[in-house]
Amino acid sequence: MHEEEYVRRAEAAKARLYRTSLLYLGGEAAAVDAVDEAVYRGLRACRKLRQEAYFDTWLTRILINVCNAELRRRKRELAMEQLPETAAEEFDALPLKDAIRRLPQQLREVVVLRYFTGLTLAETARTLGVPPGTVSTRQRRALALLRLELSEED
Amino acid sequence: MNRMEEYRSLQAELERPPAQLEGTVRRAQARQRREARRRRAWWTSCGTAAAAFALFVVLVNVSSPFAAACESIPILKDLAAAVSFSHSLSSAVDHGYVQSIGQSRSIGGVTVDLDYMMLDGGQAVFFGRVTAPEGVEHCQLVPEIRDASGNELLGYALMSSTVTPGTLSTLFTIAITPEEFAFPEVLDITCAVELRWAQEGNAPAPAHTAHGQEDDPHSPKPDATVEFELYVDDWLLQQGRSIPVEQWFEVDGNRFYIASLELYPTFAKFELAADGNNRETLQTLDYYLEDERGNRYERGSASGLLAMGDSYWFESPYFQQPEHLTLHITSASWMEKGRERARIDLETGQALTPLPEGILPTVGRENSSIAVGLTAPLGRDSTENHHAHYQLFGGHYYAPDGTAFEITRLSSYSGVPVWDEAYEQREALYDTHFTQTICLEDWAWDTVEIELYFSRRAEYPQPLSLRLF
Repeated sequence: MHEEEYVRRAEAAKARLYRTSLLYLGGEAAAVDAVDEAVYRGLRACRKLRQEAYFDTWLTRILINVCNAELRRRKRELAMEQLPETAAEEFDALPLKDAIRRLPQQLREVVVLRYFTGLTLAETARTLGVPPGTVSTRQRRALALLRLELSEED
Repeated sequence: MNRMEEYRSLQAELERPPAQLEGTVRRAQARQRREARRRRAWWTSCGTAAAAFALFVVLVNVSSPFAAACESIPILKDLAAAVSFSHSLSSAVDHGYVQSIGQSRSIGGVTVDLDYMMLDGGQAVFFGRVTAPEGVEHCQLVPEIRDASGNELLGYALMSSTVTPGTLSTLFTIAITPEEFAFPEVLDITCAVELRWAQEGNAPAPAHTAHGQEDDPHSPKPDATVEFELYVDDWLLQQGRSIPVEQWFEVDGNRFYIASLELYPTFAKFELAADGNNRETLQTLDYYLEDERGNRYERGSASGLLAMGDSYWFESPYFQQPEHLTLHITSASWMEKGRERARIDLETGQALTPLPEGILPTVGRENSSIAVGLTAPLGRDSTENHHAHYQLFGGHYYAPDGTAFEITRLSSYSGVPVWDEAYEQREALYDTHFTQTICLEDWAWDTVEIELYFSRRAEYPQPLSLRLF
């Protein structure tokens, strides 16, 4: 992908990327920093992206890597925030935003990408590198923990 | 609020991105530019430089009337554009003082076309173009010359700077000391070509080093190496004339003598002899010459070389044949005894002894390399497209135990080094300053003593004038 095209599409994607990083990282400043980093990494690597149709999933993957790296860095500094799937009562007691952030990583990725980033099931599967069936399963488990009844249209 | 209401509220919250997000793509582009500068700066700092004290002078200047005059000479038209920055070379082209070479060598996707040469009794300037794979932003030629038997030649300096692929350019220049240098009948030129890619990561491993380069672990291997063989025409070497001057003059209380001027087709020069009682050593001189018609001949030459030893170079009036020439001195740099060296702390990047006014130290590290640099204001005749650099380092640097090291590689580039920790504070100097660096490999000490080239620079707003003939 040429740099000019990358710049155009990154401009269009940045709000969506921000939604993703905000749910991953929690704070506004950290979320903007993560988008900055992902857009920069994407800019450096855009010439390697041969199939422009995969731009959205490709850049989202970069962003998730950036967010996960930041979470790993925080994990070294702070106590782990994730709750196990068995902690249903704790999830119920948390505001939705916090509950999402404290989902196990695999479930959180799916729910963020599907319902806040706006990726389809197939795009989510491609972004995460897992089969669509796995996305479906994780999505069901995540929604159950969050007590959300969302359809494909929500 | 139930979960679904929370969900819709959260969706609405996420639809209001902060203002800082606006600049995300712009910041990424700016960061990429900074990174590219940093990589170039580092590469330039610690890569293989063409020659000691090579000056990389960027010049863009179109001589419209001359270019128009060449419209009817198709073969020289592109060369006219390539030399339009230089009065001497433009005049030489205008008078047909060009040898066509027309040799081309290709290896591993890199082609070097050696198209033209201008040769006289003082220098040889080579023109041509380098064709490189897509994605290569610049090419650096590192030439070597020998005679046909492979013997080394003495008494010359080789200068080259980066060229843009596909563009007819000055590829390199051989400046000679006529008393020491003898042009062989056949000149063997070996050109190593180093490619600089626009995007990091695009560069394949060099696969085409046609001639067994020494395995110097500190030198990047060339991406291609090509050889040319040239027959040198004796008649060209005899071109040039000498005009006697035989005058003493004084600058800032220091006395000098000019014996003669030497005018060649591609450049001109005069020799300055200093009075042994001078209290300062003259290091550099800024000047221009003017003929009786008001034509100015600027200092320097097309290769960027300003002086060799005590000879000072200027654009040649060879083809204009003036009746009179006057030398106008506009600035000079001087070395005061006892201030020849400065000590730099490699941990803090600070100078532990005074540097000349306006000069800043800089230190950067990458793996086992330490780049030690000096940042100085661009020369006063700099323009947006012409950055005038001048020499900041002397010829040696020293370890704390007194061990002397010769500076064999020196890089000079516009701007301040982005890899320096002080970059944030110095970013405002980026467009007004330049930096020269040397590279210390496996340096075991935390300080280094560098030799400075001058201790003060003096400007003469009212030029000091001397009629030479």
